Amino acid sequence: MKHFRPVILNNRFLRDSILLVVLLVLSSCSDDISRSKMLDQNVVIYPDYSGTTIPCNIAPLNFVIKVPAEKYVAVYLLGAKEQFRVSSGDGIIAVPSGKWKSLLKEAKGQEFSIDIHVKKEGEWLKYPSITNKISGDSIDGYLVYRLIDPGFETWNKMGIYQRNLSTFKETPIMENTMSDGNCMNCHSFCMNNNNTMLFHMRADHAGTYIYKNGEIEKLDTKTDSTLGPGVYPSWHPDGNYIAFSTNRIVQTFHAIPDKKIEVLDTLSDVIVYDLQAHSISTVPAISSKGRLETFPTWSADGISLYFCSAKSVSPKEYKNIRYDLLRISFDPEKNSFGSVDTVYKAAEIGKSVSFPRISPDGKFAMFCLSDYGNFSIWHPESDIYLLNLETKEISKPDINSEQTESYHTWSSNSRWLVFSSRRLDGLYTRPYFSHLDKDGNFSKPFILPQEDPLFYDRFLKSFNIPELVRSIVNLDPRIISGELNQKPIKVKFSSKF
Amino acid sequence: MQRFLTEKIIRYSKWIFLCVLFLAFYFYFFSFNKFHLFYLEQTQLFRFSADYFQTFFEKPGDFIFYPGEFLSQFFVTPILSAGIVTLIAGITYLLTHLIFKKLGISAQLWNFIPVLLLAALQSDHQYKTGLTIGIILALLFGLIYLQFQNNLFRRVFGFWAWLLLYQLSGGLAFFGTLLVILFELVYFDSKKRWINILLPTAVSIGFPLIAWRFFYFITFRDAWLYPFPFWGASQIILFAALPIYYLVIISGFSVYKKIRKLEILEFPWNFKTILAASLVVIAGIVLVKAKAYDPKTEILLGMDHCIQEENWNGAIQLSKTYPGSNQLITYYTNLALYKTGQMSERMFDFRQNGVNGLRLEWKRNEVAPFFGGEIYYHLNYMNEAYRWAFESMEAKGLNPRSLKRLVLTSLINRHNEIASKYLAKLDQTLYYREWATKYKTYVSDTTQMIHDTDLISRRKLLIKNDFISNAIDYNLGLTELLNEHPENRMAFEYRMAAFLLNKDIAGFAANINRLKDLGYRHIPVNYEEALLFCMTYFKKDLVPEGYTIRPATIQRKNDYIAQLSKCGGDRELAARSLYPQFGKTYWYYLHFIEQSQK
Repeated sequence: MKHFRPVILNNRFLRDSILLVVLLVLSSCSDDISRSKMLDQNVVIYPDYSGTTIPCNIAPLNFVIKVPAEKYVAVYLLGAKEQFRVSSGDGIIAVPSGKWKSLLKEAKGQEFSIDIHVKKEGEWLKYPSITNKISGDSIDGYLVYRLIDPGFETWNKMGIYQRNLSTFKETPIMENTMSDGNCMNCHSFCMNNNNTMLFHMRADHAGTYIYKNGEIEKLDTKTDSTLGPGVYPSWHPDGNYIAFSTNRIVQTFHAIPDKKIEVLDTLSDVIVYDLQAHSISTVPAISSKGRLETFPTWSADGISLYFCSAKSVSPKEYKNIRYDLLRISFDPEKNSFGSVDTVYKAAEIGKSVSFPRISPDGKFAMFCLSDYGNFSIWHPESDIYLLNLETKEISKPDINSEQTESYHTWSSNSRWLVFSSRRLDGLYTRPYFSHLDKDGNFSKPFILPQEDPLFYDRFLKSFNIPELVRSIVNLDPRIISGELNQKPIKVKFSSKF
Repeated sequence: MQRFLTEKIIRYSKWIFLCVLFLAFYFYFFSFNKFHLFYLEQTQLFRFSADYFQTFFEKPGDFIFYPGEFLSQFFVTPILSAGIVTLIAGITYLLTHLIFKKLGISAQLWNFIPVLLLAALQSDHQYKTGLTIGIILALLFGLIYLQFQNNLFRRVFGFWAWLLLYQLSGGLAFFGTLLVILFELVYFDSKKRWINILLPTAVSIGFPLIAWRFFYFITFRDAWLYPFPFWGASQIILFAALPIYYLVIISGFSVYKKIRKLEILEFPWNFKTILAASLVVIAGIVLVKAKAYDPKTEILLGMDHCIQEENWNGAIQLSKTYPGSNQLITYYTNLALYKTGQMSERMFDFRQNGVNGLRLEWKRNEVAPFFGGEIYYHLNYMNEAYRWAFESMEAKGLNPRSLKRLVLTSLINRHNEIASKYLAKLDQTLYYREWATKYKTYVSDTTQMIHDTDLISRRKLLIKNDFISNAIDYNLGLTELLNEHPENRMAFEYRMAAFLLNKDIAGFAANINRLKDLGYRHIPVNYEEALLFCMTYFKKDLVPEGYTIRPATIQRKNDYIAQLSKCGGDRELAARSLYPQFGKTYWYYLHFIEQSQK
């Protein structure tokens, strides 16, 4: 029995004709741009993915050409050799995933360029090439962040999400739609380890949720001897301790256009939680009455705890609260603290330190400097600074902007930095990446790539607390919500130290 | 008489009866509920965007709110809003009629009862139209199911269509399941009816479980119940009455038909049944109007509408019709009085209840930020206006009012990038695109804004010397606003009003001399009355230089004192006897009205 087939498939002549037309169209396109007229001025692309260094395992850097034109072609070249080209009718250059991966593989450790051609009034024009470098240093596989509205007191939908940095796939770790709309915050990982995580939940289902060795433990870290529950966390590198700040926080609102919110501590201490003993301890050096101690962070070797410390003054004098960077020695074997020394006296120069983070190789400390206070995200003057722990030299990397730079995390290989910035619009926080080379130089920051390059224009949530982790976090809202009604382990206060 | 009702006349009279009912329905929403519906439009933002569309697939039951919000966007116009609500009710009526007809129940009245229930539901200003869409989808599912005589077709349709129904309308799909079970029991005469019953039952129980476990990040409760519970408990009962009505009527009449061995249960159309139906419908309408309709909320929402439209006199007129006391009414009335230049002249013509009537206190809920941010914008306290609008957007989701306010405050604060973000959302709408287009030109070409006198005048009043407000010890920042901009007349009048309402005559007396700087031609009546009291109290002349107190005010004060002294020390008697003549004076407020909060 003869089967019926569509004529179009049976007609060889027709099929070949279509193929010929496609080839002609492609070749004519190619011919067109080969005769492009050279322009002097640089092309404006958004997001700005030009002159930067990117990891060899990053998702395609899709962008839009911000030039009104009839047609657009982006030609990707390695040296003089064309790798592939992307055509567009609306200026959006969406690079096919396969081609992008090949480019990353081919050009690893080298520079590649993008030639932008636009067709205006029937004439093809070519802008000067955009050059980027593909670093041989890979970045950790996932970025974990909280998506929140940059609001004041009320919140609506929020969640903690993980994004595969090699693709555009984003999956939720937890969403508050699964926990009666409560607030969740301060997710943290132990040395970029995706299997060791904690975060807090507030209001309903309150507690600190610790995920370790595939199990979730819910803690009540509030004790009679501490100010309140643990807030800003830092995992000890061996995973047996977590340093927390514990804070009494006041929120007020500014009246001038360029400032909106002031979040300040009226009291704060640093405490250390022992995961095995379920106990909290502290020493006067990190919980003194006359000072505010916050933002603890462990050194890479685990034998020092860095923290911010300021003289406690009345909340009315909030502009005089300035934090220095201090360090206290710690013996993980004996669970004991030693002496304190001041690492950076920021208050002396009228500045205030927040969010210190030590690179995993132990060479650098990175922190934010603002005019006062510790809640740097609402301080447009907040910039990121780098302290070389070997030379004690402090520098301001050329990665800052006129707007807020705030929370930051090192990659596990200490070569990449992700940090929060409000540079796009002054309000919505976006994650930016920068590469640190062996000479201590940072590359031009680039924003987390999105499939739709116009994503950031319309997305009305902030990327809060960007944390790099090596691989996927095996948690999802279903798993975590199953633990919500777990009775929290009441943490004891121990005066062991 | 019966001969008079020929078939033709019966047919026409049925249509006339129906038209009258739906006209009454339309009239009810057009006349009594237009502000309810307008408010509904203000609390959501339908956008022509793929991103927005995608959000309606995040969990089962979200989708019904997409057409619901699409239709609600037209509620800006009373003619359209009443028309749309009537159209939806008409579709419900039609589906009910077709289902009942298929089941052999022919009775116009019973088809109309769900319409009355919908009228009651939609009378609540929080009722979302999408919920009715959910009911309509379930009825449509039931109606199509009834068309299949073949068991296999019914099973196949029932399975796939139920999955779709569940995706679209969530927990309302269980109404569809109950309909199917009922149809199998009372309509289809199949020996395998138990399979036909068990299959949808199993799917209805099993699929939400699968959806919860594998497909969606939803709570176990939401897998079954979303979009319930949507708001207050009493409305849930009312809403539940709608599906229950169908189940009761279908099962009741079907049993009756079987007992009486009737093919069709038809209620004759004669004067007796017309009269009975009319009485039932009228009783229903009266019940809806008396129990479900809230005229006070309609006035309140009417005032809110007037404030948004800057129809200040309209707001004042509505305020006069409000029975009793309400903080939001007083707050809006005072704002409208200021805007019409009457605040310092006749504030006490209206019910005042202390300084709370000047603003709404901050609360983390849907109501306070939505209504309460208005005052800050008019006072030129831009950061607070922005904050309250933002909080409102957080609490209610994207809505045109908050977005417009965020745009304006951002433009005034010179935060053009932020303004453009919010403008992009408004640009995706049908009704606010034109508004957005105007302000987008200010972003793309900042020089264009100089032609906007309102925004420019507000920019001139921007705060440069920072001060802090907080949610605990909250005030309007009037002192600080006036310190930086003594020319801010509204801040001055609100500050004086705060002194008067707080009965802080010392504060009032200390600030009365600012009248000249602010260009007052004469002393406003309320200030005259307060001044006369202050002068008696402090025993000194406090009348600002260049001003006099009008003789009529002095005479009124003398009359007040004379009448007050007649009452001896009896405060209650004095309050009663002085009220008719002096109830609208400051003296009366000072002596007899308790403030709610200092």
